[in-house]
Amino acid sequence: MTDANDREVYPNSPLVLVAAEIRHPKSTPIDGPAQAQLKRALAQVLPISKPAQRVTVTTTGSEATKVIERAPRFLSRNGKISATFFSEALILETTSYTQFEDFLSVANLVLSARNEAGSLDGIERVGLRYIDEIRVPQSDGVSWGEWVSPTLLGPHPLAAGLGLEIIESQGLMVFASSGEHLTYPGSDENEHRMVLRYGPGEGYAIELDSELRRSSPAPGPYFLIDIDSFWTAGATTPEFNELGLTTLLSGLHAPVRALFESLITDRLREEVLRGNKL
Amino acid sequence: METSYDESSTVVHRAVRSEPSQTRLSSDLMNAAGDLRGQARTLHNEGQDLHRDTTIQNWTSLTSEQGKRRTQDLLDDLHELGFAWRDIARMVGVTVPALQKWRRGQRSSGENKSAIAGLLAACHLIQERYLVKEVASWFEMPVVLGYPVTPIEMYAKGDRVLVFDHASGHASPEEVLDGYEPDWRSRYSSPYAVYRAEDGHLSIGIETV
Repeated sequence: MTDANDREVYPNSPLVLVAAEIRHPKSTPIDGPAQAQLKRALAQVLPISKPAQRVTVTTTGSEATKVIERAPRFLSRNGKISATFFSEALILETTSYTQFEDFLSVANLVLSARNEAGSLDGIERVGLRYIDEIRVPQSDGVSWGEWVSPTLLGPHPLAAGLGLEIIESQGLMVFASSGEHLTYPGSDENEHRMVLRYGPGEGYAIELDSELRRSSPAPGPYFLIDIDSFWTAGATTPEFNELGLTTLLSGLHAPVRALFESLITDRLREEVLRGNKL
Repeated sequence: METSYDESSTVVHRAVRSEPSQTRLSSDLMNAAGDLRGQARTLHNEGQDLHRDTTIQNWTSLTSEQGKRRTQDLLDDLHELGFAWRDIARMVGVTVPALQKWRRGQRSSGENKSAIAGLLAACHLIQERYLVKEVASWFEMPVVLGYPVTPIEMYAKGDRVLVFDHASGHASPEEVLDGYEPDWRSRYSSPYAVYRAEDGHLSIGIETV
């Protein structure tokens, strides 16, 4: 892992959301004293309580079943960091990400608070997701080839040659690694995958009308780079281990920056992310 | 291979493919292309159009009803709602002396009477349908905190649909301003920010990132 001082923080970062999800076997609901304890433990960083609600609709033939799950959720005062505690996952999100080390320190606090509020049976999956909306100073007919790697443009040049315009596209690539650099205590297998979702879009990739607030640039064309780096346990479900999770999150973060940097052009880096006109 | 139907296309043949597992977000924040969210958005847009059409019909009908009353009474009702004369004049598109003249009983043109009746009808619609309690104060409030655009300004410029969208909550405040003035963020941006100084009092200074 590179040192925080070696990683450049772009003044005009295109990151709109960073999320970490720790998936675990279904646990007993966090309510009553456990929820009060959770609130106390998070009060310094996430003092605002706004319970979340998730609706899952399952259809079988002509019948649909709706399940509503309510979960404790705590937000920072500026509404830009949120921790949600579902019965089978803990999700930490931020729309004001600067450095991984800062994010990790909040993650440590949240993990510790969750474990104190009621121990988890184990860990099944850990994911770290970075969602970027790349916006450039061209409003009409953006030539994305000048800003992102041509490998992300797929058949776009083909369409131009045919006099056609691609109005919607989204690509998906799944990268696998041996997982050797990722270890988690008690796990006999360490599977690491990175999923890259990418493509041009219009408006916003992340909705505005949510409890989690985000900056609101003028809507317009953007290029989505959504990197999801995740680890899954093998046949064995290892125990919850706070230090193990911290190490795992650091391992998941390590290749994300390199992948992002390989997907953008020098022009984007210089003119947009650093704000230097060439 | 399996054969399946895609709602927006003819019969397609597509390979069975398992989606990779995904790190989930706390809510359905992602606006991914082609997914259910997109379909929901289409339905939402159609619903919004229907809602707008119905609102305009109601407003037209209420305006017609109010038009049967005397101009003085319409103006008195608007004033009693809490509007300043200058704001009424601005939204109706006339001068304050013209309003005073009509309040004294002088005759107004059909066009001006219709504009006054329309404003009163809009206020009643917003109060009764969207449960806005103090309608005059509501008209004076900025649509987005920190930006100087109010419903008074939007109404005065003829953007009644956006005023109704704002009152109904069918569009977020940012979406309302996007519809009114797409460059509102840069046009009204300010390098200054309010912060609490060391002495504990609020101060204004240059905002730093």
